[in-house]
Amino acid sequence: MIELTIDGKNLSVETTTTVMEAALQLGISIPSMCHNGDLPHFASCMICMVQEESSGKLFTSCTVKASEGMNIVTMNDEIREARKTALDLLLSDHVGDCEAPCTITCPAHMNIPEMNRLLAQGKFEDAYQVVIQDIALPSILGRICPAPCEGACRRGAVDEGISICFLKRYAGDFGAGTSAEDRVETDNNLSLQAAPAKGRVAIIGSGPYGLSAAWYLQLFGYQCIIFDRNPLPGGALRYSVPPELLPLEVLEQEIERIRQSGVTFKMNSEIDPAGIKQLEKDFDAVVYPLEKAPKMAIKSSALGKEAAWKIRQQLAGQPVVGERRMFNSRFGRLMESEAVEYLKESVAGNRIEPALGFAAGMTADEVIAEAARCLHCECRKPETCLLRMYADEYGAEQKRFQGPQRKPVTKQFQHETVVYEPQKCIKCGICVRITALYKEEFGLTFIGRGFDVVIGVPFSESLREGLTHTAEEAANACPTGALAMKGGRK
Amino acid sequence: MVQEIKDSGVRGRGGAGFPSGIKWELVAREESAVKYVICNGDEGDPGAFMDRMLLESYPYRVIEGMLIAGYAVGASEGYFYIRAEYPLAVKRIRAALNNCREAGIIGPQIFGSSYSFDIHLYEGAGAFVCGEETALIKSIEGNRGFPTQRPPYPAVSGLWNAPTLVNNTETLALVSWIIRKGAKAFNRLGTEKSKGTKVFALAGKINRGGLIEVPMGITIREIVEEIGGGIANGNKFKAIQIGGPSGGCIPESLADTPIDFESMKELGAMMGSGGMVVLDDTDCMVDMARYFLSFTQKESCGKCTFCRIGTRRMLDILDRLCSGKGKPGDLPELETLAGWTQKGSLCGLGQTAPNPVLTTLRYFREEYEAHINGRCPTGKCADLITYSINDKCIGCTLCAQKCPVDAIEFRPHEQHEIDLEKCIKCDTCRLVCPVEAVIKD
Repeated sequence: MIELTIDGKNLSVETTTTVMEAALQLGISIPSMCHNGDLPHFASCMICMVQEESSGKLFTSCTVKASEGMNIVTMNDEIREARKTALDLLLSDHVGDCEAPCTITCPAHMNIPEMNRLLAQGKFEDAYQVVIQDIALPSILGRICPAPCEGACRRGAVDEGISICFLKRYAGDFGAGTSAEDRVETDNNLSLQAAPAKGRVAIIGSGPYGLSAAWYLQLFGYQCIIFDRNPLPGGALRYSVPPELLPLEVLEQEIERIRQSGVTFKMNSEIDPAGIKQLEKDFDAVVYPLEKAPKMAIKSSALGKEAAWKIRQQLAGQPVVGERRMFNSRFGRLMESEAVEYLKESVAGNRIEPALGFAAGMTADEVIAEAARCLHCECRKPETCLLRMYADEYGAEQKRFQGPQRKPVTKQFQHETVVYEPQKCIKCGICVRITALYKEEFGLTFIGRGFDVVIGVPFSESLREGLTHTAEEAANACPTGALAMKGGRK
Repeated sequence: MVQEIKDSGVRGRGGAGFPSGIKWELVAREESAVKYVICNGDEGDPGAFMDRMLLESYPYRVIEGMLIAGYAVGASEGYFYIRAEYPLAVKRIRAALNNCREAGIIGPQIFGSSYSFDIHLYEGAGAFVCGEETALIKSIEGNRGFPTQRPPYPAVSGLWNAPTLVNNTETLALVSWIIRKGAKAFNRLGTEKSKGTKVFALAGKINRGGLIEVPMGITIREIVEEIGGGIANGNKFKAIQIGGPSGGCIPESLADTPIDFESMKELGAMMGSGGMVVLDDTDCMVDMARYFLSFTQKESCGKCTFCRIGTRRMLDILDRLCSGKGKPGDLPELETLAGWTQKGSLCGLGQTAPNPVLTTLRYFREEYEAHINGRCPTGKCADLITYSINDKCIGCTLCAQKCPVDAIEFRPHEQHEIDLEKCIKCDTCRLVCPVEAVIKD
């Protein structure tokens, strides 16, 4: 047995224990990306660095064995800076988007590629559920939104951007046409099950901001009452948008859904300063009207959702930060050569315009065909990627060490079950060790050296030859989205 | 024998200067049926060829050193690891080993004794990193030459996990002399902590270059002026890069420093394998740092983040500086990055790769600053200089005749002009001008 100290706590461990394992015995989890369970350790990512107190030396805790009398510190400013710098460096050579440019551009941060995938499969109800997780008024916005997302769409670099707004409108209309009783339970179902009332929130104004705030607060379990000076709800949507653009029945239908979720509307209620004081007294929280309404209704709607999140956090006694946004790796515009790579995940063909005109919108067939044009630029592992997780935790900066030019993206689809995107790889070698452990004939290996090193199949064999029986294991163990299951997305 | 080596004070000639006797003792102390001795002949520093000279010219001296080392630490097998780019060294060592085997000097029961020791030859495939002992061991094992974290040191767990003594060629070449003449004779030479002599490969802007063997403690100036015969072409001595790409750049103002392991380290350089490149006042320090870093960057194995990407990003900054695209924040960023690459890299290659950058930043910072302001004081960085012709021009047309890209119009008896769009900054016009009318700045 070996006696050592970690973060001021003494412990004794078996002689073969690594510092990382020893720390874990104390419940201290040290971050790491290139270390994977029982595989031989490798020391590549350098995220697991800890410090020996007396010498001040940093070393990788995944490889160094605990030794007698060690005094280890697992976190201080220097270690944090070392880890962040390693992450900054890795990110400077990580060409990939965590989330698609359309999602990032959308003020409401809607998961557009996910909606597109479901629409392309004809799963309209699921698509609707994805939409209303972020956009409370999809039918309305599907008609009046200027769609900044479409300008950001990568498909624009190939031919024309995806017709996202029409697709969202279809999903919204589809959902609105389904009554609450008929609604099938689905995986994505945010559902309108009445949650127990956690409190009462007063909302002043029934425009896109107020409606959106009410919808999300109601879903979060708060009883919402909207006060509006006008006789009918909708605010600017009803009184400023011309009805040929936004038909009245669409507005009514969408508001009706919000009403059905349990929101109460108190119309003809002018709230003066004294009234506000009263509301503050009577309610757990009050959503005040925006001082200056944004030009885009989608922005108002997004701010309404943000207000709902903040009130939820405030009432739950949590830090009020709004809806959580993870770190996002981004690489900007596509190079010409990359269009082909991205098209591998899509279909050819120009943007489809609704044959029956704007008022009628797209038919189901048009929606399915247009949604299939999506390039699916986002990562396959946005929620499990360790690089993203640690980049978020350590506040990493992707642009700190930006090189003069980035590596061009390639996507390898030859394999039946996995996709390989080498430019996302951090060269941790986990897949290489897995293929060696399970005795793949070819397996994977490091090719080249230095900055240009890549993981590939030896002798230029195809990925099929390299991963005959370890594909799934390797894809699941890959700490980034470099190697991922084809069907890995929902 | 171990004691004798310890007493001699000899330290590893491969670069880091670890006391050889202590290394021997560590291996000797390990209890294991199998132990190995490896001669590290993977000399990869550009311009360094002392190991090559020893292996080609004195193969038996090195073999004898290995035999003694093997006997002292209780090993039964040895390996020469020689880079394949040294075909003559490989050929001669192979022949020498055959001769020794035939003569019963190596092999089973040497000279009828109970001691058996055989030596194999392994050719490295040309990766600089394989000179790092853990990578070298991986390479002999048939794997990719990736370094591993130390500890465990090879003395405890080395080749095929057996205790292994890895010594540099030059170190092993010293062994027989030390054993024959005694530790005292050896440590009579040198400084307090660095004993004996050291071989350097003297090169650069010097009148006499080549391999030199000098006692430790000799000053840089003595080497440059007395042994090297001073700077060539009457230029001024500016600096000396010691220790190859892992070493550092020492300015002329510190040339009276006696050379030993400690003093080199203090100045930010290192003994390294002993490369010495003398630089004169026409050499650009930023460009020099870029040259050495581009070497280590290319030779990084690609395993750990700091070396793989860190050296590359440092090089990106140096490329920017040398092409006139430097930004005010570049120097602090370069320093930070160099610091982390030093601290965070897994093996010696990455840990020492920033040395040329850090030392030039330390001693020649004003040159870096000049580059940020778009000026290369020595005029070496082509992107930062322009040529013009002043009114001293006598219209002789020589420059126009010699210009390889017709950037100077042929106008006899008139003042000539350079078309900067076409000019490739080859310097030809300036060199041919009989009246020094071509100005470079």
